[in-house]
Amino acid sequence: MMRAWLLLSPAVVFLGVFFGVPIALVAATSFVGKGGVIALDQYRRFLLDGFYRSFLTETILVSVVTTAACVVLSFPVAYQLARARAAMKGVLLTLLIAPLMVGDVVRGYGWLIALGDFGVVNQMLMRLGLVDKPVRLIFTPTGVVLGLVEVLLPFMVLPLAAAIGGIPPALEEAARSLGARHARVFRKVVFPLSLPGLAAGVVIVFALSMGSFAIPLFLGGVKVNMVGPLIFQQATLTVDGPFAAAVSCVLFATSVLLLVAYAWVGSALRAEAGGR
Amino acid sequence: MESRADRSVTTSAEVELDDIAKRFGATDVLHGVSLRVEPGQLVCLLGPSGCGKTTLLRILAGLAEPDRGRVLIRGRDVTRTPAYARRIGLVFQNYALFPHMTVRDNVAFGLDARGIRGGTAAARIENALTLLQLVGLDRRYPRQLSGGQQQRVALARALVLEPDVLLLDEPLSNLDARLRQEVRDEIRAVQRALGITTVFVTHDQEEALTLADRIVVLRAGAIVQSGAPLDVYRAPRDLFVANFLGDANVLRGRVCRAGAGAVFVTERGLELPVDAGASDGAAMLVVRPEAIVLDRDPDAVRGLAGSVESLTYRGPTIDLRVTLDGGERLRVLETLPGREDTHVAQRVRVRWNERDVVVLPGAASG
Repeated sequence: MMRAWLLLSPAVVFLGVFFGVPIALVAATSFVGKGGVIALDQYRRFLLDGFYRSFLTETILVSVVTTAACVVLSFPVAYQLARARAAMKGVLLTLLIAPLMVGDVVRGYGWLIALGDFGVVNQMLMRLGLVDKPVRLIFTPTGVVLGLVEVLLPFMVLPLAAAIGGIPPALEEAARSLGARHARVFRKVVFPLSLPGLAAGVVIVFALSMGSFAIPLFLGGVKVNMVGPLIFQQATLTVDGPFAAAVSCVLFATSVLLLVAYAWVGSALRAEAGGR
Repeated sequence: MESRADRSVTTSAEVELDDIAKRFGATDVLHGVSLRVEPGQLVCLLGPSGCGKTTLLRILAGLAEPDRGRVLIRGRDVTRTPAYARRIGLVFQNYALFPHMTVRDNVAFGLDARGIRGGTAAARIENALTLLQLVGLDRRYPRQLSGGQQQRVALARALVLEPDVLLLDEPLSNLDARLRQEVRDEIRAVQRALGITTVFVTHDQEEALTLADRIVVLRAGAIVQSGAPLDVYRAPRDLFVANFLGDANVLRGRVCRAGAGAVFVTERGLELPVDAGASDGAAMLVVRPEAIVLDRDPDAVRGLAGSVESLTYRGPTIDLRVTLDGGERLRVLETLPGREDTHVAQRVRVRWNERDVVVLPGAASG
């Protein structure tokens, strides 16, 4: 027990100094009201003012859609990844992880070019005759969701693949031998048993999406109101420290609540799944 | 489908495998295996790991496709029929129970998949649970059950569908010795009671001998021998079967004077009379340890002289090594009562009935 603490202490000290202290400072700053008194003014402004509240609701909406899209797109990929043979698994993992080597900013810029009125996507749509004039994609929530899904997909695929990898293939074979077609095998066996991994992926993707910055900045511009760019703008351009701190705290609280919910749901799911 | 009806063959066999071949990459797992299982029969596929027995079972179940050959169940060609449409019951080595479902939901799974629900389903589930003594456990999850109970749930889940064929893949290998025997007898009793055609894969010769109506011995992807357990045990076709099914003493030598007065001459020059039917040439004489009779009478003159080299008491039996004066060493298994005073270096005479030995041609190694 002592040794465990000894081994953990560098990480604990590092997190305490460089994560705990700044968070505490930000939290303290957020309670500074007009005239320097301790008050809830900043929170009132963010949550009650219709203009600022739209940042929160739009961010939640974009994050929900992004997370949902990631769930749907991840299952086939995660399943292939989990059931692939060792050599193929390496190839798939590399393909999945490679985009993470490129920063958000580069990818945001890339998407900006690709989704623009004269970008690859619109040119293809027009050439295929699906539309006759460019579809507005950049500076729309759709564009932001597209970019976020691409960036965040690996964070859904990896925990999901780990969960599916833990389901013995014999369970699927047993289901098939009992008369279940593929859809039923998925619905009754694979899906319920992969829920713990799915829950982990949902929490990670939703939290990252809520706090995303570069993608909303590039693809949302000033037309899509998201919390990440708002904090940046308040902290650096408007130089309204207390307000930026309050917005940050709301974002942080959302993530913490999500984690608590995950821990609770997760343990219930594991108990249900048999914990083997 | 018309094409399927055209290809169907009238046959009395419940299950028929016709010239099944399968490769995985560069490995030939099965080459041209043909097998018929009669209605109600319990057939054991017996062989060491890697002999292809599990692959054969998976092909039968529809979980693997053969590269060549046909699979017929009740005369219907199901070679290309997917597992879910085959009407087979499959029990896995690790049971493969659904961990997130109760015993009842596990048993109900197949019925639900086939659209059988409501009262009919409930009655059939009740029957299956009763048959396998699972009443009262139906609300438990698999993790709350013992190994033997999990095995019974796996059987109930398969049998509730009243499948044409029951396939069991090493179903006893995860149970401890005592439970294994109990579950083995239970499987046999249920199989007999339902009269269900069954294919049982195992590497355990004792399981095969006690359970099977017919044993099919596989080696390196081909059938070596098949027949009633006692026939295969008493008349192994080659050294592999002799050694794999029980223990065998093997004496190397040659057969001379084939016919009525045939003798087997060991490498050390010992002459042993054998049954007519063996042909001249290099041969091996196989005699089971329990077929050997030891005569402890110092005045005995019949049989081969030798002495006890070592002995082990195994409860009901004594396991002895006897060295013949010619140097050949034999393993002998005797039942205990009346033989308690056997000791090392004791002089004995070794005899056996000619009916109980098998002469195999050739000087195969192994």
